[in-house]
Amino acid sequence: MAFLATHRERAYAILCDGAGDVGHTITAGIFRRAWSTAEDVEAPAAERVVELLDGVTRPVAGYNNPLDGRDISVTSFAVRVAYLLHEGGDLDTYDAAGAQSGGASHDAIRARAGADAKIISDAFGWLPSWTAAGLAPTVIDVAPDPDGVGAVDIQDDRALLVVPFLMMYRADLPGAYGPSLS
Amino acid sequence: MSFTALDYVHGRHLGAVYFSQESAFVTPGAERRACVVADTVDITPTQVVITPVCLSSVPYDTEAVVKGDLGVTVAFSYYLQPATTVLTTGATPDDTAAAPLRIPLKTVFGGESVAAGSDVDTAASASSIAVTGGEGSRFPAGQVILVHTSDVIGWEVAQVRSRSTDAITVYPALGGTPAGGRDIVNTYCYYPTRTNSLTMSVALSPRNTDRQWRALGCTGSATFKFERGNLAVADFALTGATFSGPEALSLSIARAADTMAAPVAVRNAVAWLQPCATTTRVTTPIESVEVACSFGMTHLPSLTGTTEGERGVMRSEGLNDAFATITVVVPDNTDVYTWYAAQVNLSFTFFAKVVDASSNLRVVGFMAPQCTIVEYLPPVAGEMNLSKTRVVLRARMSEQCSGTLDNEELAQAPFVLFLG
Repeated sequence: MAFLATHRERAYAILCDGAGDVGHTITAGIFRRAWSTAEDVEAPAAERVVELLDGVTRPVAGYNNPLDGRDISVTSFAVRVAYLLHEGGDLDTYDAAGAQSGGASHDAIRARAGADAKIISDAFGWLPSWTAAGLAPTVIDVAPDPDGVGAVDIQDDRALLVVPFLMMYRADLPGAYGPSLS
Repeated sequence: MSFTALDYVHGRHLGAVYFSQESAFVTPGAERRACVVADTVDITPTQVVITPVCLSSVPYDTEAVVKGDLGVTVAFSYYLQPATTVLTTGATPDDTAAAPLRIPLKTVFGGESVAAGSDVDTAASASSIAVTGGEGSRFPAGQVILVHTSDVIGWEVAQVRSRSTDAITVYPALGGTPAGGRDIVNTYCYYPTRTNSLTMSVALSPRNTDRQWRALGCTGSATFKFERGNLAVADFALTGATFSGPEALSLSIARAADTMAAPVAVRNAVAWLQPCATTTRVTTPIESVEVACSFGMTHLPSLTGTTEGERGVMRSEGLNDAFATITVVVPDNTDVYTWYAAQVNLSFTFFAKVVDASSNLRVVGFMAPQCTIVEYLPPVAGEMNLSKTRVVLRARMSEQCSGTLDNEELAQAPFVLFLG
């Protein structure tokens, strides 16, 4: 997804930095960008760490005519959120703002994950948060994947939530999206 | 003698398409490169063949066919894309080279209304606006416009219902009274005219430039699709009088950039279904919308002085029927039953929108300013077995505009397609 690098950065800005159209943003600080992956980050630092997962890209309508000079495609991607599991699940049950909030029982994590899935879907699915950034290629739509949100995967020391999306864009064909070679 | 195979990719898959608005029947105008949806364009040439049947004393003694008039059918899909240039005050509308979609839309509808926008000079109310002096003629009654009502409310779609010099009234009423200086953006409006003799040519070239085709004298119909999860698209089905090809027709196959703004996803859509007498905006959740338009375009046959047996086109079929039938599936509600029983005149507006990087509102949609529910409303089971209601609307000639009408056909149009 290197050619959509700016889109990737925009996604992280929406997730972690409060970027986006007013009224449809995620409060900055709730999520933190993973320095590696949500699975590899050390457990104590895993709470509400987010990572973007790349998916497949395919042309809308099945094909792009190169002579038309445009590429209308849809790419799938997902947001993965990690939650720290504590043995015994005996933390406080209050749900304050910030990354280290909420209880750590399975039920509490599922509840937080459900709420987080909602706010991520709402923020990413609000198109002006993408179009106002003037990204190239032009974003046509970012929609929650119609096949639904991934289940929470409870692992040994953490839980992982996957929220899938489909981004439709229009790019030039051929385009100049690679690194400069001169 | 050997058979020389020509192997190349079909032009509908890898090719270049050109439109032109004909200056006269089967006389191509300036050809414009068009970005149709890939794998949708088909130019199907035909020719009438007549088999003479002569008496013979031996079986299977057939005669060679006699070739008659040529004909051609053309089909293609085109995303409903706004033009690149936003029609603000001082803007020059994109010509057909920059907005090739203008050609097929104007050909099938017959009517096109486009001009630069303006600004609010003073506003008396949420429905009565004075535009900058001398610019009122840009907004004839029936024109669909976008008004930037305020920084809080943002852009709003409305139809001009009357114009007196530079004073216009709009419907539905805006969400507030816009202050002086607020932008009014115009849209490209397409509406059915009472007569229509416009034709277009469609040309297709694969990468083998010796096998190019051009269909001439084309007219027909279009279907507009606003399907959830997809891009707004128009499917054109045209019939032409004759064709050229397969031969070299001097059509360039160089790569060309799409000159129009990006297509619009239907996921971000707005619908208003409300009595004409209701002046505020009634946002209506709808599950689906289908539009069937009756363009009524036919070719005029003639025995003499023709091109392949045809001498022109005109709008002549279905003129006593509605131009458009709109089928909408909505959540179950009591209002539609009341409206059906009383045959209340309704206004239906639907548009998909996106705010671009420059904070301009880009829209594609349509308005049926005056319509009625024409059949009893059956309950249907929708997704997840939720109860829905299917509403069939028949677009009627609009009587909603008033005053001196600059463009009577636009003001009274039963259906207006707008791209802005």
